[in-house]
Amino acid sequence: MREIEALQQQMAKNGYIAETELATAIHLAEQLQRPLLLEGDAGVGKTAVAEALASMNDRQFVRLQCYEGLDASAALYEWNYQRQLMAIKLREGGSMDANQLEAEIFSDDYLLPRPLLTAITTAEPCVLLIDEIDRADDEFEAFLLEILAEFQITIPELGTITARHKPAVILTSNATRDLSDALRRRCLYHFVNFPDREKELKILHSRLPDLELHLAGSIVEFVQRLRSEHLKKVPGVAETLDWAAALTHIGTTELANALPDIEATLGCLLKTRADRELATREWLTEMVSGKSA
Amino acid sequence: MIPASPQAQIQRTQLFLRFMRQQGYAISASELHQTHLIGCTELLQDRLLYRAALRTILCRNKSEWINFNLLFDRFWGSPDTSAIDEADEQPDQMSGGNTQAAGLAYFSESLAENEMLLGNPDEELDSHTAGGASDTRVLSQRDFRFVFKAAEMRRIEAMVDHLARRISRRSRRRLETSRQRGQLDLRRTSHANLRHGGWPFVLNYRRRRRTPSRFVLIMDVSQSMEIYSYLFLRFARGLLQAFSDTDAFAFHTELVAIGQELKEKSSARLEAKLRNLSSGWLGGTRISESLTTFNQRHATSTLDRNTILMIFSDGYDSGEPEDLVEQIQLIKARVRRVVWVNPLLGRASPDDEELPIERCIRAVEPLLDLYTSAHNLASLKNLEAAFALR
Repeated sequence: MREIEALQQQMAKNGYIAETELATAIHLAEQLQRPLLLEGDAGVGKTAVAEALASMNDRQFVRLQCYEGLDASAALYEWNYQRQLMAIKLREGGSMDANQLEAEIFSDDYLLPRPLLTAITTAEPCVLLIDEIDRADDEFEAFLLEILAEFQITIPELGTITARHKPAVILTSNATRDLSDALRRRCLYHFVNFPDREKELKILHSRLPDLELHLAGSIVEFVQRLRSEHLKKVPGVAETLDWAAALTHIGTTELANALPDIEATLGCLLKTRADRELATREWLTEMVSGKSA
Repeated sequence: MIPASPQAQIQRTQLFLRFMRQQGYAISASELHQTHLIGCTELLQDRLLYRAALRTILCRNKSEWINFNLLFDRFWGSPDTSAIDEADEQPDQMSGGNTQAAGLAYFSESLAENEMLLGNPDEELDSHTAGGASDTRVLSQRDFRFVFKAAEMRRIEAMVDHLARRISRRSRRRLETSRQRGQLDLRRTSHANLRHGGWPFVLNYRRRRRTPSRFVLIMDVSQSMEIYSYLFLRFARGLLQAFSDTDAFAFHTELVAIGQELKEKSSARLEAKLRNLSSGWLGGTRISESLTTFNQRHATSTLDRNTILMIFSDGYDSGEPEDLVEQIQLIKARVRRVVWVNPLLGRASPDDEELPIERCIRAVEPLLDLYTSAHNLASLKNLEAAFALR
């Protein structure tokens, strides 16, 4: 289908290599105006989807990073109460009556919009990324349901604000806990896996165009083999890019005879003590030559 | 093949959705509507794109995502409707067909399958049958070592899975409102009274934020725990799915981290890791040495003041009690609570008048915040108390 191919090409121009299934999911999310839930391991490029989508359509990118303890006020809006107090003090003894004063201090001027309100009130359609939703509490997840269904927010002092344009919403999750069925029901779903050899090679070419073809191939082979080992923290695409950049920086041209270089830069790929201890010289030799696979 | 005429396509899609429902996919009116919408687009002309679109709409989690293509091809692959007819006649066999396998594949069972096995688990786990014990109740009180039938074991496995999820739900639900209001929150009070010109008509109080507990599970998989470790691992997997901040380790003669593998439902990586683990399954137990490894390598990154550490072991240790006491003391200094779950504690047969608890466990018992049994489902259920520890 031409629209999906065009979407893939546009995303590639903006630095994201999307396979057909992911492009179909993004296309459907736009057509059906539904949030898209991207689930997968850390480092597979979930957040980058939203960034590419925003830059591709030249839209504002609004990001809400979730964390344990995130509440509605930090995600939605807050009143600038210091300014409000100051306004009350400055008008003490003045001619303004109480109703006028109240109307003034609860106006837009004193409102501090947070990501969700920003996404709803932008003049142009934007891309809203709700990142790592699995880190937020259940209460916040329940609070999101209304917003994702209606795209409207009620502020008691100002009334109900409805989105002028529905934002394109991308939710990401590392699956550290199960999300509620209610949230999943409201979203389209796509599971983002680690890229295969071909796709990872394309990503390397796209992000590091100066990288030598032969070295890029060896790097991808090595990382793919690494992912099939029992590591505590499996390296993602970002790690592959970092490692490739590090190897280029120290002047490595071929992996086969560059064990000291690999050892020196392995910190880009293996980031826990247990994984680092696994990587003995013999093990690395096997990984480079492909015997362990 | 996907039919060419739109009318035939609609009928066939409806059959497909019915087929997917039978496989445990939750398909509501919203999914029906969206499926119809994409059926009116060009996506329908390309089989791969149509499959990708339906996958995005109908799947809600990773295991559904993984199984989808197989089911799609199974249905759309044949031109006649024999597949769906068979599914209508034998829904039980169909639902288990693609996920059930022997050995360690028990980790790949779907939620829907478990619920089908268990019926209404919430009611059954709490049921008190008046005119005689129900099958479920009898099973829940039977020691795991006396469960010999495969069907009964499957039922217990499903109940263990459900129990883990229920513990998660209970730990999150709200309790009765306290009458004690605590300290005045000046910031919120002044904020709330702006409309009254700063006069404190409305008072706000500080709300004590409940910091969720983290859990670290250390499981003994030695020979002496052989009967129980299988179900404890399954229980641990359920907890890891339910609580985000949970990690798990297994030990026999040495300690290995299994948290990541348990989280990866239905993955080959999980099975391979457990196969490697089982190579030492029949080895002797070195609890204190394993805990030393844990303290040296993992304690810094996994333990904090909010952690509840749970050790699942019978306490048979080939090491010295002093070493074990020292390691438990080190752990206790870092965590909120230490819980020891010993399945042998619940044994009450006439032959076992003297419980085979070794001197090691006697030495560490005073250091434990909770020392409990988990030899059957009923006692495993009592572990909810440990998860409510604050």
